[in-house]
Amino acid sequence: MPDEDVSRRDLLKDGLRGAAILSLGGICGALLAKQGSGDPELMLDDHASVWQLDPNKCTECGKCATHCVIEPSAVKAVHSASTCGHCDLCTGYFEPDPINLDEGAENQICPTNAITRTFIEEPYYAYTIEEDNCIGCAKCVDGCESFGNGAMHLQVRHDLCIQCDSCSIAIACPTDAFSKVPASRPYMFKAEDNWLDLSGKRDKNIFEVQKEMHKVESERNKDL
Amino acid sequence: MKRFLHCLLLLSLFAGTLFAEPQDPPDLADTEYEMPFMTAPTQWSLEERQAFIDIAILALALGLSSWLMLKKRSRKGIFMLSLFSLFYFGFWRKGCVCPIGSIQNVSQGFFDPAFILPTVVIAFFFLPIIATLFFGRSYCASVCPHGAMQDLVCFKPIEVPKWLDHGLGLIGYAYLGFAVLFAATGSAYIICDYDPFIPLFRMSGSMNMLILGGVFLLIGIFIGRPYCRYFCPYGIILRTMGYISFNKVSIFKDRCIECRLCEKSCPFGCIDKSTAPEKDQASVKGKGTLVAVIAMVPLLIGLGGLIGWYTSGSLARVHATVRLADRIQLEQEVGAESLPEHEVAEAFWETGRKPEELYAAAGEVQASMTTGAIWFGIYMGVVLAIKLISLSVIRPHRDYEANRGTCFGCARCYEYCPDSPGEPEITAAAYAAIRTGGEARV
Repeated sequence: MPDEDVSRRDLLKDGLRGAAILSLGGICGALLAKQGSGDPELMLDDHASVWQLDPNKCTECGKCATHCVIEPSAVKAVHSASTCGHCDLCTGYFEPDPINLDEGAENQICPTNAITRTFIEEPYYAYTIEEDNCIGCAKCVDGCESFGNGAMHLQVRHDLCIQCDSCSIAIACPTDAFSKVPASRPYMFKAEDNWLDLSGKRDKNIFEVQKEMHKVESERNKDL
Repeated sequence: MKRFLHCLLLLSLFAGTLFAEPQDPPDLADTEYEMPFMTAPTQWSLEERQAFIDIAILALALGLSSWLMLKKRSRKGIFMLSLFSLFYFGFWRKGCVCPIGSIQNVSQGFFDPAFILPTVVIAFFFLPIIATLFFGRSYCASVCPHGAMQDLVCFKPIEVPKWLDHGLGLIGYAYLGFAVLFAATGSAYIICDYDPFIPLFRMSGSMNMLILGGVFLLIGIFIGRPYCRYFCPYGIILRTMGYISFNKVSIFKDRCIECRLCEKSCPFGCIDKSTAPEKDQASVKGKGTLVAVIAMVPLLIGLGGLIGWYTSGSLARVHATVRLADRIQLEQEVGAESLPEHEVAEAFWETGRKPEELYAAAGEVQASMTTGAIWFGIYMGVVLAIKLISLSVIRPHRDYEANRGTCFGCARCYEYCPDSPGEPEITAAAYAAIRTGGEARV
């Protein structure tokens, strides 16, 4: 009797082992097959996925600065200079009621002095964001978006982001602006002509086009 | 009137900015101005090379752990390897991507056609399972950083009563079911959200997350591996594989003398006692009990499915779209003024999306959650049924042995067993001393 009990148990065990191996192989195969067969646009066979912030959905709530698990936040403001009006009174740089239009800290909207203002020629100024100081609070974005060209916007910086499976900012974002995208296309900038992509290439931006047009015109004027 | 005055006041503050309307980018081509461009930095850990390195180290660690656990039988080796795993998978790679969390990615990858499931995640999900099927829980032994962390703080382990051990063990099954359910419906990644040790590896996080980690470490001093034993959803899968694994941890070489030294040395209560001699012929505890349990199986499964269906409405609210749709529907019924402020709802109205679209999306989530919740209920019914049946069935064995499903392969028991291979042969005098406890017992 004990022998029969043992062999029944062994049969059950071997059966379960076989079932386990088959089902593991089946699931693994199904997942790997799904990888390469998807829509090439979706790039399902990408080797990794990263978090991306859609700046068009952003409502500048300030949660990017407070909810990131690392400090300071991996989300920082970026500035699309080709969209920028280069205004003297930049509403992304100055607080709503500045005492003077100068670089005094009391006049700036940025709490960490992360934006630098440089004079070009009357009445145009250049604004650049020092990423090391930026905390991603979106105050400049709010100002630029409300009264300016909307050239300043937030982006997840992938040299800082640790790519949590469950992004704390993504959960807290009121407009669901965070999504996981293929690692080969990590950023969604507001201006597509003005960023240095992963391979170091970029399209010509509006300023470079203007320079070329000037050159062409001056060549033409020389001939006259 | 008051409101109008407030608006006027605010507008006057912004009066200066009225002159700052959006304007076209100026023509600065004749100046020395070099327009800066935005940069798109990335990091090495996202490159394919890092993924391959991680998979290779995982595979090597699993192989080494299995060898140390079964062949070399070395507690020291397991300890050293777990220190390495704690450093590399824990503090260096910040515990992400990990096999426990990969359950969520695999679940979502299965049900969501647009979800990106990288090869490294698939590898991290399957490699420890395959290793367990062949060698037992070598992943838990010294490769998992969570296990290593808890193993390190287990200073004064107490014995958990069997009934409590069985009861708490059911939490893990529920956790696994919920994790799969919420990940498959795209609602939440609860394994990541409630992981106690990741914030410690990252050395940052919200206060709640850090407190949870501290609490688990504190409990872990007295109850060995609390997360592994009662919560880890991946451990449930590994436990199932462990029960049918091809190789297992065997403590003694020739015979067990029931000295119980292994049982006392195991901090996690994974050593099964030998069954009493009078039970050698018995295969069930009571035939009546077993019949009653088997009769209850369809009832348990049906009840589970019913409870799942009944709670599917509340479960759907875990998904942010459903919560928003509920709120928008409420606003359309009673008006937003009578309700407390809701940031997400305000942002929704600002985007100009139509509520009908939102209702359609939320309706889809509810449909998939209802199906999922019913299956979850059925799954819990099956788990409970199998648990009750296994408790009613006896497998007579006269040896103390490591439980194949729950043994974590920490290799502590090997050193204590007098008949372990490599230990000196037990003499008659030594045996007499063990039996009498040095003349203290008769």
